[in-house]
Amino acid sequence: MRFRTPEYFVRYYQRSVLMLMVFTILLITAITPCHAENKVVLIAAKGSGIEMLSNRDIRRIFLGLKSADSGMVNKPVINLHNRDVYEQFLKNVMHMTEGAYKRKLVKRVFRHGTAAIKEVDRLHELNRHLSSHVGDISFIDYTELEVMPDVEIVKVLW
Amino acid sequence: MRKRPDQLRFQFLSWLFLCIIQWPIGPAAADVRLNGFASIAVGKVIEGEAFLADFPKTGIYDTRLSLDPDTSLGLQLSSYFTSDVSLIAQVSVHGAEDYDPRIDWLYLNYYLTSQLSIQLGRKGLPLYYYSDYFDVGYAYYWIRPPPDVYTWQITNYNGISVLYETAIGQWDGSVNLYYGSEESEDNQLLGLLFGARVDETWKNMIGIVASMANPWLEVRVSHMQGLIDRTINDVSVINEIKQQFLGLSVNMTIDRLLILSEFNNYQQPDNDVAYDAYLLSFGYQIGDLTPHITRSGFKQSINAIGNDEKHHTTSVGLRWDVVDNIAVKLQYDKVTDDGVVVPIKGDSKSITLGMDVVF
Repeated sequence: MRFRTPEYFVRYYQRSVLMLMVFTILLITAITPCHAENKVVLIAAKGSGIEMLSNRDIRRIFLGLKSADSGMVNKPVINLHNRDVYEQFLKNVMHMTEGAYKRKLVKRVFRHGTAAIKEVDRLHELNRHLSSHVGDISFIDYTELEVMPDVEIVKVLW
Repeated sequence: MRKRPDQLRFQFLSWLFLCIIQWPIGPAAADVRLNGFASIAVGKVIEGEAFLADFPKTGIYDTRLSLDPDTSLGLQLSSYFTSDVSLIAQVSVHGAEDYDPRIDWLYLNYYLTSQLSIQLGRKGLPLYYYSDYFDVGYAYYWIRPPPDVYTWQITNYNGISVLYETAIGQWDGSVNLYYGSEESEDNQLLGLLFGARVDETWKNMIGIVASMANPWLEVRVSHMQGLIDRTINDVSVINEIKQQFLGLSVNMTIDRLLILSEFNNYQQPDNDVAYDAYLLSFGYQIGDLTPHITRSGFKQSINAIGNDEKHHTTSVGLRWDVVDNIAVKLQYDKVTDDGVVVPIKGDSKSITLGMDVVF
């Protein structure tokens, strides 16, 4: 039996190693967009009776206006648990930056006497709030639903 | 010590408000929310003698460091009896008014539909773009809205308004119709300009404000007409003279660039009074910092008695959003006062440092 040096293995398996590296890179790049385009859903308490809301109506509600699509919707709650989801929500649904959104809310509070929108940064607190305030709505990453036993999906936002 | 009528009125309205917000409706009392704002600013005139920073409250800086002209504190109470019926009150104190409390708002709001609401009571007079939150410094990047434009002596009205808000595609639209009147005894701004006690009433005011906004563009049009009564040292000098106001604002947000503009025309056609005012401002958002530059002006058409109020201001400033609800601002203002018969406070250069909070 011939003894094979490490160089032999490197030469012999060079192509396989290269293929493995390419495959790994492709796998990583394929997985990354899935993380970037995570699924975010609009939620409310189980049994809230809120049916499909248009994105335009969701934008109205999160600007402090009343829902035009459903009489079941009460108030919005801003979920700050996941900053990425919050920023994507502002971009995809509200069509504005965080600073612009904050100033818009402040203007509305002091222009029309609208109540400030509640902000929550813990998921169990959000779950508790929504279950005790039926009709309130919020948004959440789909993967975080498993720790929110008392809520249901109203709509997939993206 | 005998109390002034406005102090008694404030106490009565405060008492009335407290009674109403505590009034139980059905099995549960009203849901009461509290919001507030505060602005603390210190500044001085570094060249010239004085700078009229706040026309309606006559906040004036001079060559000494002063905390009063732009310092304000306000509390807003919103009492929701049902999801459709609420009572809104806003009480504020201002350094320029010796911190005497005053009621800015006290009105009942009722949603007729999700898009249509009616308000009854006392509200801010929505002539200008920043009228409704003129005192809420956090809502804009200046220390105060440009004084050349905000030269109003009456800032509130008592009456009725109807507000319609809708959305069309990416556009949010609103139309606000209002009717009301306001009496101002010993008006501060007119007292400063005339050097005497001036009582002024704006009555039969009827106005409309329409606005359309999408994520990058906002257009607002405002029109009001009504009648004025004015007495100087208890002598009637104006009686039921017609007044008209027309305003246009166009604001744009192009990526990080902010472009703000406002153009106003005011007339008393039967009294030979007319003026135009404008502002044009550019801001640029760099993270938490917003540097800005503004040019504003006021020009009265010279009338038969030679009134020629005319001034313009160049402002340069920086807003820093320190945390979510706190902003720190630094601003330099250069005023050129070209009025000969009606000068305001002369040319000046001033600097102001301020902090705005909402809570």
